[in-house]
Amino acid sequence: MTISPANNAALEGRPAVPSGSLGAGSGVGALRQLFSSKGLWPLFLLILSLPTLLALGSVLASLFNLDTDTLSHLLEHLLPAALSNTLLLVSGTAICSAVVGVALAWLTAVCDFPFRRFFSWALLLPMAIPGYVMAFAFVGLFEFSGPVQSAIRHWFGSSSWFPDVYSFGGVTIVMSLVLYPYVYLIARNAFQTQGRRSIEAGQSLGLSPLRSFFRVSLPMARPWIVGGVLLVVMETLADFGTVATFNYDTLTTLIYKSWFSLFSLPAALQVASVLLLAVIVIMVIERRSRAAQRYSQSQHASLASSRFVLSGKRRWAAVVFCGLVFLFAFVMPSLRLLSWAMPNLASDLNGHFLGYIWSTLSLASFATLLIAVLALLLAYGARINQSLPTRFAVRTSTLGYALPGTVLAIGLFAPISMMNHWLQDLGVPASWLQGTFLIMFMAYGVRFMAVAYSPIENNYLRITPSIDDAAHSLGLTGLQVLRRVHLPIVRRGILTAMVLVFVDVMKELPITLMTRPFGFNTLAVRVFELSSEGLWQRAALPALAIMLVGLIPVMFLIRKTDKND
Amino acid sequence: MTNPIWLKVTDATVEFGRSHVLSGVSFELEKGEIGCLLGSSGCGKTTLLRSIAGFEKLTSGQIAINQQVLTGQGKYVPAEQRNVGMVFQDYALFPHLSVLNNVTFGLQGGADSKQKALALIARVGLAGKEDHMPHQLSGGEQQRVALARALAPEPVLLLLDEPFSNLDVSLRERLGGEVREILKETNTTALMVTHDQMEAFAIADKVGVMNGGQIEQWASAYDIYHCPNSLFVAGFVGQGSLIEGTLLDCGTVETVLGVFRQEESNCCAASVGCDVGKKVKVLLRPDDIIHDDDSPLQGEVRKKSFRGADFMYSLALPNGELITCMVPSHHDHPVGEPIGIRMEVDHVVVFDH
Repeated sequence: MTISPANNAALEGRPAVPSGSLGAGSGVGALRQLFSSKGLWPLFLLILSLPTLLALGSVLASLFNLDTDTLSHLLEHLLPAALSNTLLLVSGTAICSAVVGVALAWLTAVCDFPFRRFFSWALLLPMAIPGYVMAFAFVGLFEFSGPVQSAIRHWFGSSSWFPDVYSFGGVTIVMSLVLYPYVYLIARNAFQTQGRRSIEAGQSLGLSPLRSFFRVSLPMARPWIVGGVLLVVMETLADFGTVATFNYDTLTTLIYKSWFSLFSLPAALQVASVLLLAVIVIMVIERRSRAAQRYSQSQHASLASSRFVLSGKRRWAAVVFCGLVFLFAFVMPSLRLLSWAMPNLASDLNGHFLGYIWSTLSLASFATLLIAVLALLLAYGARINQSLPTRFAVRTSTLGYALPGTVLAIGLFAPISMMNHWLQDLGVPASWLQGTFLIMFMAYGVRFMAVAYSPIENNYLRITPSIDDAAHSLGLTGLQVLRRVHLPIVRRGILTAMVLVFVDVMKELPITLMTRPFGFNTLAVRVFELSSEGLWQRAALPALAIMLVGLIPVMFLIRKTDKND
Repeated sequence: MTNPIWLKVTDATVEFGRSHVLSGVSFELEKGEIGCLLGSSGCGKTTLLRSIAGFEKLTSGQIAINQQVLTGQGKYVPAEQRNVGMVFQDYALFPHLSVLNNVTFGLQGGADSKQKALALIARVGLAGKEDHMPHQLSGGEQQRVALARALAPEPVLLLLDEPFSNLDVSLRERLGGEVREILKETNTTALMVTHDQMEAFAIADKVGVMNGGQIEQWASAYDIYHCPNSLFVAGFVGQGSLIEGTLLDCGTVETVLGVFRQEESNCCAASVGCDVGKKVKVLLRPDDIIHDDDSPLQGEVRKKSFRGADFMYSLALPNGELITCMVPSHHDHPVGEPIGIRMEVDHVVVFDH
């Protein structure tokens, strides 16, 4: 028998079972224990999902806890009106953004006309503009004393008619201009991945471009279009800033009013529960519709050679249509904001403004860090422990993206303030519970966990289970595997997650507005406060700042979609 | 002198709920030996390998390396403390690390480990590709990196999980030979899992044929082929046919093709037994049957397949039994023609009815 010297030395120097390293439990032990022992993960992840459960629980519980005497009078008139307004707005916005989004998607994905490449990415730019910014830019343009109506009166006389901006029509148009990119993006992707075969098959069977759209492309892309429209519906349900700017009463503004004007938490909870029920219905539909998104997607065959080349009037009609949408959804609001901000730039760029920037950036950075770390732990935990409790915890923790900020704010504030009272009655100091950032960060965490989780999880899917095994067999323990293998591989996902969460927190309005500590202002809150007082010129600068940061993720998105073009 | 027992698996049993994935598996490997677990998918071979690596726990039983118990007796050493190397079916290279950094991954660091890694990379034939990233390598090259990475920490045991299944056939054979060479050079004790018997035969000193969570036979490749201990092993490994026979006396069996006598010195001497008059099935490998145009013994060609160097004929005997026979490729006989055969049965293998 021969044993090479090297091998022999290794055997003696490093026995298969190093003694004493088995039951380590001191110092960093607790943390290490968590990372190496798979048993503690479900518990830890369940704790992570507690805020979501708390918010859902407290809102839903109010359904069974009707305090009819005080509420009936209050809600008798307000709730039905808000409910019907909400339903009207949701249907209007869904229809408008579906038509506009699908038409634009089909034109830029399947047809060819001048400036097509430009429009294909430029039409995504409106995603950078939050609804409450678009709203006051739009109102400022089209209201009675705005430049458009003034010009019309100037040319056609003072009696010329113009529709009222503060109306169902106005708010629906603005909401659709803000939200159509969701449908556009998803539908366009669906059209692109249909590949050219199906279009060629249609052409070979004698279909004209238009008939091919209705008989081939549209039915094939339907599941995705439905998915996009449902996203629009959820965003519309959740919107607070846009409708508030238009003084258009929906469920979200009613929650706000009940809380901050009528000072009734129970009433606010009650309205929130109605809104939550609507959201749950949409979520169920969305889950179902996702199952249909399994039509065979062909390989990324470029459509370039088989685009329908539009000719004559059609081609200019396409240019005009895309151009008009781009003009109203991006150019006009941007110009309006710039023209407001420019004259006052010198006086507005003062210490106050920098203070808002500072508080916004520090808030967003801290929230981003917190959420990214939690999302990473969630993804890591879900990977090493696939038990039922873990899956439940992941499901729950990532549910919050669908919950409107207003619902979350009241759903967390009400039970925590109740807890505060209990603790105070018991003589326990509990001032840290309320009037601090606690509720705010909890609400952000619930709302944006999914935003951070999905890019990280996407990257995690690239790490096969055997890579973990390989690391273990080479001597790494749980925490070391996370640090030396997982982190470098999911780094890009974490970065994406951080950018998305940062921008989302920065733009976030209702949660910040309703749960911020007294006197704390962010850019978003500032824009909302100023614009609801009609001080649009002064709201323009912070709004532009938000827009600018909001452009970052849109640029990422554009670069990604451009590769498929 | 035989080498000391190195890997010892005793009564390894794994149950998931009610199903037994492994039921009472026992085998041993000597220091420096290469073992191979051969079986179709779902036979438990991968579970056995993963249990040895420390990725799975046994329900009962024991695994020991060099007389140190790793699993069993209430002990369970986690994978990262076993110093058992593993080469994965999908290679499992770290996608964010270069070839060199993959290989040094399990080492403690320092100049020594770099030198060692470079030497190993050269040994597996990848000198000059140290700075490549895994996605820049072909499948065969990735497999070589995986091997170097697993060997770098000088593992007490190397496990290979279907290491060649993602490679094309010619590469598989070449790499198989190289791997055996490297393992022998470094005196690494290794255990491989595969469903490909040629691979097992080419690399392993000992082969274990697995079926339904048990090892049917644990022996050298030669013995597995020539002296299978069960109908399953006989059918799973190699080709062959079974014909009827009757025992005449100890070690002698009579068939329609004549009387075969088992030599005492033979590895499967015990298999025939002494029950005079007992009806048995006799295993005939294609290489037991020699084509001879002058032989009075004849079989009628029923099917034939040309394989380049030879023909594989399926012959019908007068009593209707079918046997397979390998014939040099110049002997091209049409279907339906009787051809002469001669028996050269060195290993008489019989099974009960």
